[in-house]
Amino acid sequence: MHKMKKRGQTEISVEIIIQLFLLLIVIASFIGVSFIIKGNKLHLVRVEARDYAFAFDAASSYQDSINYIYQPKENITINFNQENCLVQAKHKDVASTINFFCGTDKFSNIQVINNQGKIKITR
Amino acid sequence: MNKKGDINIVEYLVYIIFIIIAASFIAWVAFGYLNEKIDTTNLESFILAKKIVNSDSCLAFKDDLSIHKGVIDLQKVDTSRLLNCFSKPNFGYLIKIDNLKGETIKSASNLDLRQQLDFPICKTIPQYTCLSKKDIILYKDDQGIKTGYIEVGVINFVQ
Repeated sequence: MHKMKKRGQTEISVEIIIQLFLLLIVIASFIGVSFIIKGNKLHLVRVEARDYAFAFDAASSYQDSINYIYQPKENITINFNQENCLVQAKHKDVASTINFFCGTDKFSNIQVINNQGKIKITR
Repeated sequence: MNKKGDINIVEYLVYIIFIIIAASFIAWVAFGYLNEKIDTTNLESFILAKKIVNSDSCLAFKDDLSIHKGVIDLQKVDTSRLLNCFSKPNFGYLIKIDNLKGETIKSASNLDLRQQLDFPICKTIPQYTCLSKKDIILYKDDQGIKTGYIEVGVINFVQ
């Protein structure tokens, strides 16, 4: 005899549960990877090293007086060796340091002062 | 015919294979993005070109009154000047000043020996990024200030 469902009842088969589980794996892999990309600190450090190097190059091209303050991003410190124009950027949560060179200008009279994390570029 | 409640194993194996392919593709794209090289040669070339033309320490003409940005002093166009005004490891460049007829009046570079050899065939070597920019400029020679072109060729070792 055919068993009738009562009104309001639904029947969930094992098949649907397995299909939902497989779909969940795909969604979870996508979301998991998104989090990895979003929190890529090494990428931020690479960008920061280049950002400062280009800011310094642009400032050294400018012939009039300049007073520019560069603020590194949160949790990133920049060490700058003006003699060989080497920019070293480091994130507090990442072990490796990223190096990037700006353009050495032996005629330049630019001064760089590091003050409580902020970098002041003046002429 | 399957009884109600029976699971078709073969069907689900096929599903699992497709899901593994989809998840692997997502992971491959993500790790490719994370490990992608950041190539900023275009921006570096732009900065170089501006510095060459506008900076007294490079090629900009300077007299008793002021620095004339955008006016190249031909007397400054030599290798030692370029080496001192803008140099960075693995980044070489060549400057040519042409008149309006396209004839090269003066040229100089800061290329090392390896870069000089590789520069003509740079685009065929994957480890290098090469660019060339040509802009209209003014230049000063013995006869005064004239209009011409500056061509900046860059060879950048990006690995």
